[in-house]
Amino acid sequence: MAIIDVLLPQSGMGMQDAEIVTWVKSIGDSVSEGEVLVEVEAAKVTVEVPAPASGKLIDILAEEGEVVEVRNIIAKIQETE
Amino acid sequence: MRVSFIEAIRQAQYEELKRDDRVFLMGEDIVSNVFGTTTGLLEAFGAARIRDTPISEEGFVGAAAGASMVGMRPIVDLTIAPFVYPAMDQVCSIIAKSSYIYGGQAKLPLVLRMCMFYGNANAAQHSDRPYPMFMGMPGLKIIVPSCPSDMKGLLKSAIRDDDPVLSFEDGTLWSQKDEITDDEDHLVPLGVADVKRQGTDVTIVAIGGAVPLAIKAAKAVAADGVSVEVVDPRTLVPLDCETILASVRKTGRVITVDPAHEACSVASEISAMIAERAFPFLEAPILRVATPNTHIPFCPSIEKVLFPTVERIVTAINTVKNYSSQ
Repeated sequence: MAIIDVLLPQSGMGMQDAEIVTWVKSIGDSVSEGEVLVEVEAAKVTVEVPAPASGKLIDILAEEGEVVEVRNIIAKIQETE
Repeated sequence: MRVSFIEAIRQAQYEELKRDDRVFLMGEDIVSNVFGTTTGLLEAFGAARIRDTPISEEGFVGAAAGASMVGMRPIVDLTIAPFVYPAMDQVCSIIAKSSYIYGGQAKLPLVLRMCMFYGNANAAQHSDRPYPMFMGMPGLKIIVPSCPSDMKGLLKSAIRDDDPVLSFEDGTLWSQKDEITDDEDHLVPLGVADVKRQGTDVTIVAIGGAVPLAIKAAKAVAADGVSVEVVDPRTLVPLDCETILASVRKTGRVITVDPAHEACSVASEISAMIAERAFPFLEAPILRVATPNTHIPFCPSIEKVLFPTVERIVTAINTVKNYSSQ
């Protein structure tokens, strides 16, 4: 079963980074592809980050309140078949 | 109050729109507020003064030139800097030259604002930093603020200036925050550089987004006992040569750091000016830390390394510091 890196997406041309606001899912939760994992704030706009794959959320690498650069790994999902 | 670079732009525009009825805003996606620089402006000032334009840069830059000639004071938002290219004839043949060729009878008090995205996987056509090419076109004033308080003060001065001013707003600085004054008449004058960090061993002259990188590099080498002075020109035209030269006379060792491409960069112009006017004070060659003369790739992992980095600046500091002509 593959481990998928969840990257903070660059959702706007000018977006450099975002602050992690709320983890909607926790470590150990099952997630479906497309389901919202976390809410982030980039330049005063709240953006929902969806799961790129279905499986179990096994690691969170950026805490609420932390500012993360775009394309950094913020979580890991263990993919289910 | 502590505001971001983007909020500083919004406040400058709001205050100057409020102060002078002749000021108005035009550009693509002004009403939808694509970057957050026009929040509340449509509600406050109405559609006649907050105007969306079609995707026709030559058309609306030319219209702004004409409006400014008959007494209006437009702020043109060109979204990102490479979008000015379709309007080059209007900028270079009309805006830059009209006051001169009409013997001062024409006055063009307009501001062309544009931000620069780079280092952000926006690929070749959306990652340009073209301010050096306008520095070489007489008749245009140019501001390149490096922090929110300078951004607000310089933009307000630019809007009040009776000459055409180009404002290049570095996208890497957008979320940077700074303490700024409540005073709506606080201006940063054009043509005055700022020493952002005092030092005695090496001078760094840094442009726009390179200023915070230069300060980080200065802090990194301070641990080794090297004292670095960082000079921020803030305005490219008119350029404050005297503040730069005073620093060079003090340290004798200079690096110029510029996110633009190296060929004909602002770093190059400043280096040549220093060599001509302060040669007897130099202890080492003047080094430029700029971006190589190649197009910007899309791929993030090979893009970021092209622009000036703290590491490259530190290497340059050590090179000039250790230089000996023996």
